Amino acid sequence: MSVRHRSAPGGRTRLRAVVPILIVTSLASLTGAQLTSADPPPAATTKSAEQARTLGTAVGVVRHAGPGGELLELQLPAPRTLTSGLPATEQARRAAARLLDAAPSGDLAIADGVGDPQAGVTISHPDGSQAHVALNGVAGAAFAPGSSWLAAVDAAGRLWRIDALSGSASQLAPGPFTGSIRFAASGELILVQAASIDAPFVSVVVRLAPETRREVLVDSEEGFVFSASELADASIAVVAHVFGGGVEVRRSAGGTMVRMASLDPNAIDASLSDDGTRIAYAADSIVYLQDLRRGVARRLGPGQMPRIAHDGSSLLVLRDGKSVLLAADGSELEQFPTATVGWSRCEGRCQP
Amino acid sequence: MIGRICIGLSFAVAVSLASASHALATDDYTLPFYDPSVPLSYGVDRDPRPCYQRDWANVLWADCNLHYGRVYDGHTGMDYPMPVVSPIAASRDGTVIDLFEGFGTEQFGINGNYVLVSHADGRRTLYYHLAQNGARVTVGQAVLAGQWIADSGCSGQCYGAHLHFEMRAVVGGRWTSVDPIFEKRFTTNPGRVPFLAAYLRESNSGSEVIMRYTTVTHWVEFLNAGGRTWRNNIGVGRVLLGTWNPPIRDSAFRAIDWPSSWVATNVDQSGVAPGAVGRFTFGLHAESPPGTYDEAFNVLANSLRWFDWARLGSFHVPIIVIANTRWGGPAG
Repeated sequence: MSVRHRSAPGGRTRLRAVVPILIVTSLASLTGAQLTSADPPPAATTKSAEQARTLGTAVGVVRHAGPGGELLELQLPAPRTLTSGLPATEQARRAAARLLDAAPSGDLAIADGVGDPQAGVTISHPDGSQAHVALNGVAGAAFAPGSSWLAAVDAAGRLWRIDALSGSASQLAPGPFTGSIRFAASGELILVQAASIDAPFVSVVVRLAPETRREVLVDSEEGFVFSASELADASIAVVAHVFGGGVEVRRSAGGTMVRMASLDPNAIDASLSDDGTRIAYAADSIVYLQDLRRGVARRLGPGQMPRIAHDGSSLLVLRDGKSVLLAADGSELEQFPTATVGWSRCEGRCQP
Repeated sequence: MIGRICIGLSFAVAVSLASASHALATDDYTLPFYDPSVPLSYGVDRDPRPCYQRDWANVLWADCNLHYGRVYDGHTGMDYPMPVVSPIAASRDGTVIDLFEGFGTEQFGINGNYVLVSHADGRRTLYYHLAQNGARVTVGQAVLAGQWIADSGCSGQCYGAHLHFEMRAVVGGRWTSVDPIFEKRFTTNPGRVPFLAAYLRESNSGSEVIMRYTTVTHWVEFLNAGGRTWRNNIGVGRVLLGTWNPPIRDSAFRAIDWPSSWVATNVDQSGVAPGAVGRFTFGLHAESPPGTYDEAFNVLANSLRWFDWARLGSFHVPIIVIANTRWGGPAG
């Protein structure tokens, strides 16, 4: 992490089976040191639907049926983040609040802003009422199975458990964790833990049991982990920059990690289909869709932040600040005027 | 008299640095950029406890507040604000062992672009928040202290363009962020850039009057205000005086002692430590017709970096060529 400054105007993909002891020791030590922290919980507030309307924080939701699932187009309050002076592409990223996750219950988790060190999380309920927690920056969040709470990582890399109804938060682990935060079907969290949030490498993948707060190391390849998620077969897929090499996708298999594919050396914002057969990513502002079984990457054209449908049949990308739904062959299926469009897991229960 | 655009600035730099010349003068790490006016905005927090901060001057704060110019809680590196796409230099000789440059130059997120260099003393230096495709090196490449290795940016968790520079060492069996400022690894606190010189004096501060077809000897002295020792017996990094405006220009006043058509001389001494004075002695030979001329020179760390000419006092030598009345050749 870095605070605001006053005067600021491919390669090798060999897997190592041996756990780098230095990394593990480093992270374990750091965690131990920070467990002594007595970080106060962030403030939580709630609003009725009427209060949200009156105060201008109400969230509008338009549902769209698309190939690959339901899409939610959010009409969000004005952004908190100042975007002047940034390139247009980056303005699009930071221009507004951001949908973090949509729970099957219909609850939505929305970050107040991107790149805003003061941003918190708004939880919007299907009846229009809201809860808000002042997290001091949001790196990522995800609803737990059952939707009664969500896990969120703040800008300092701390992991919080947030009650979906009240917004009250308690710290689950000091981390620091990066913004990649997913739940396994078992209810465990899959997180990326870094030695430092200032410069988050080396980073490793851990499973964390929310009830016991016990962490288990899943992947410790020396490098720079971008994201980790559970696939439909319960294996863990990891997208990472390999130390000294390129970007690769690997998955856990019987306690070891197996390389699935190499991506473009500049690949970022990778998004995997639930079955782990397709991955979308951006590299130098071009979006690619790669079939992991055949290893073939298809260039889909300009765009950023691809988010693949759960079944991999289509994907959302950002183009010039707009959300665009693309078919797997790159053809444009639908265009939305804002960046705040995301895949739903609501199965028809999302508001209104 | 030789005009000096920035004589005042040079004098000020010379005086301030002369007073620090007693400081440790070794070829250790230097600041990882070239502009000496870049300030430290936040340094390493040397206290691992949350909400306890110990800065590079060993001052302890029992709070979580930001302390500009010193430290913020939990910070593992040194932040230097600078516009995006500013040149970033290797802090010491080493080998590039890792880099990533795929994020947008100002793309906000947890992760950003970086170059990681390993050094012979077992330490690593990390250059973070870099520009997209901003690495000017490749993995496995050997780099020299002061070599331009990357362009700065604001990728990652960055709220204002800056360089996050981090030094890591294995301490107690694990990679740990260390504070080179506290350790006085930058020659002075809060540090010196690799290549910097300040004009001091020269053999003739007025115009050199040269009779046509003859040679005069000129010398100029500069204070080594940077963090690297000037040497004259190496290839890459050798400190020399070359023609300027434009650079690498064949000189009409090249004398027989010049190493090449644009290199007037290497620094006279075999080694000029940071804080010491280096002299450059060279001949000026007049073949040009009588008249008034001006020859500009700048200091170069060979194959690495030209020095900042303005901070060098915009060094140039006014030359008046007069007719040679003793030589039997054509008049004028």
